[in-house]
Amino acid sequence: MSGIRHPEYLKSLEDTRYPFLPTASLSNGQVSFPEGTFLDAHLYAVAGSGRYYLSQVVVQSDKLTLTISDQGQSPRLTGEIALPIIDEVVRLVDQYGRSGGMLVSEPARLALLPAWGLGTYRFDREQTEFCVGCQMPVPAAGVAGFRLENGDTVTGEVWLIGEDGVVLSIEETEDAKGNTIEVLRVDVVGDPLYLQRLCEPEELFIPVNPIRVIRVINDNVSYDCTPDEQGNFNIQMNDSLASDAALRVRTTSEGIVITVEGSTP
Amino acid sequence: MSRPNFFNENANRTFPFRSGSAGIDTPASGSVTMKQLPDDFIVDCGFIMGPQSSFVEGEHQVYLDKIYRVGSSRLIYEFRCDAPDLAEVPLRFTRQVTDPEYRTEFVESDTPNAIQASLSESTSLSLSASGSEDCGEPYWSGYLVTGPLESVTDRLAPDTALTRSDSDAVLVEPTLIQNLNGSQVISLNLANADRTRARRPGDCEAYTWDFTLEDLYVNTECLQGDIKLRSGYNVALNQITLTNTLQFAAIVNAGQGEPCEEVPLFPGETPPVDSANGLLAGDFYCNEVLRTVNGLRGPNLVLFAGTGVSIIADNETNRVVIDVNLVDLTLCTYSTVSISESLSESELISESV
Repeated sequence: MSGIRHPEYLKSLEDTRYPFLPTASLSNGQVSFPEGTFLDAHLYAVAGSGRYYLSQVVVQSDKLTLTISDQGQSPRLTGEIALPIIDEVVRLVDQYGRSGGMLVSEPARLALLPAWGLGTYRFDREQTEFCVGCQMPVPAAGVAGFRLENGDTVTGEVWLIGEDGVVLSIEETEDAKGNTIEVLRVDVVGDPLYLQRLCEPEELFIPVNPIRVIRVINDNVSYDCTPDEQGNFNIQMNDSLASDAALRVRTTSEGIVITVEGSTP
Repeated sequence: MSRPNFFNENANRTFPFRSGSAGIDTPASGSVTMKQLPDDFIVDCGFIMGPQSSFVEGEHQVYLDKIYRVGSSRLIYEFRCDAPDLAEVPLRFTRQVTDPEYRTEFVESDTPNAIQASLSESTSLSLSASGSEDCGEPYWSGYLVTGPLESVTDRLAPDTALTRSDSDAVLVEPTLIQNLNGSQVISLNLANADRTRARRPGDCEAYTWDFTLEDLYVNTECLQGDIKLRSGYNVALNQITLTNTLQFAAIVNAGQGEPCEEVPLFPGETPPVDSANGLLAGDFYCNEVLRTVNGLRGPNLVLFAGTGVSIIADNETNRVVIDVNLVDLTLCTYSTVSISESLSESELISESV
């Protein structure tokens, strides 16, 4: 028998069940993966727990969707292959679009899958479990990302910025063992002048010099009157409780009317 | 029958590079191009693309860019990646020519902050709010296993290099790359945007602060490890375990209630220079500004002069004179003489008539 003594890496895997376990049946009783459908795999879901297997293949008219599940049988990764097939690598992503590995094949090998016909094909772990060597552990990073309301996921060096009256600060506290723990404190204190900020362009806002004191001058005597706690100032007549007072101060929606009651000619 | 082990096998095939990207028509001896890279130069390698590497599988590649021999004793293998953030961040592996076969070395690049800091120094720019140099994960890291180094030194003279050309892309097998781009939060950094600061009318002296006003004030950088969250003034912090959600709600009196004094944006924030009331934004307390008169607000407040009253404005002295002068009213006439005196006068008048 003649053969290539040192076949290339992927060539050497063509006629094996790799990247599936040697014990995988590669069949769900309805359809089967021929050996060499996939040549290599690399799986590292951020939220996965290992023992990955190909749990589902959905054949649609315009694409194939492969689903990888883990030992909890939760779908962890999906990969899409557009039809007609031109890609050699199926990129796998998790539900948030984060990279989770890849399946390596060739268009001609993947072309067997659409031949199954439109539909959904499910597999058990015993049928399609991947080799341990294909599964890379992912460091337990703690918080993997911040998911925002609009669906975006923020990762890396994350900046939290307080604005429009929100102030962020850092404090320290101790846990039960006396270890120092940093505490992120959030205060909502408002921005009293925010209406000024809303002017666009900025030149539309014209600062004013507000009235702060009403000085009442009566002959040679003057009084400085300041507003009350709500910024209000009251003008009222003397002897306001007297029933026969002639001077009246009325507040109307148009303004303040100061008048003296009496007959006119 | 004994079989070659993994490294022996790789010394006779293109792996860890993609089949067809290297080892093409390699001459038996003498110098080679990158396309002709002998199989036994490198027998294994692998790379981890860090959380900030911007690497996308299928779109970006890792490739051997250069092998150069420094003097006669040292070899450097330089790998690069075409992900945008890694363009200037090569991974370099070093060998002494006396190193044994299958020597393995692990290397990691600098962190993004360290690289940015070095760029800032080289361009005389100050390091902006980009974080501590020690904060963060390497852009990428990797390992390299080399074959027999005499194979390299036979083909590469001292102080020469085997460099990739545009047509020679010696690509690493895709399954040797673990892409952790965007897979984790590396650190938390806190900043506060500037508050809206009061402005003075054009004819008044502008407010000044004894610190430089910025759009953002960095509070803390590179928070890592366990971090607690605390609701401060007017904040309700809810943890929804079912959806793994933290919800911050602004509710008056929630959390630690309403503040009794202003909360600074950063430690040491001060009010405007010569501020009379000490407010940080330079504005006024509610009871310092006339907002309403008898409950009526401005900007134009109308005073009506009714009967018996005159209201006169004096713009030059900023005065409003309210004169209760009884103008337009019918006034009662009265006399200081007695009735008897009047009568007698009337009588006198009658008599005279």
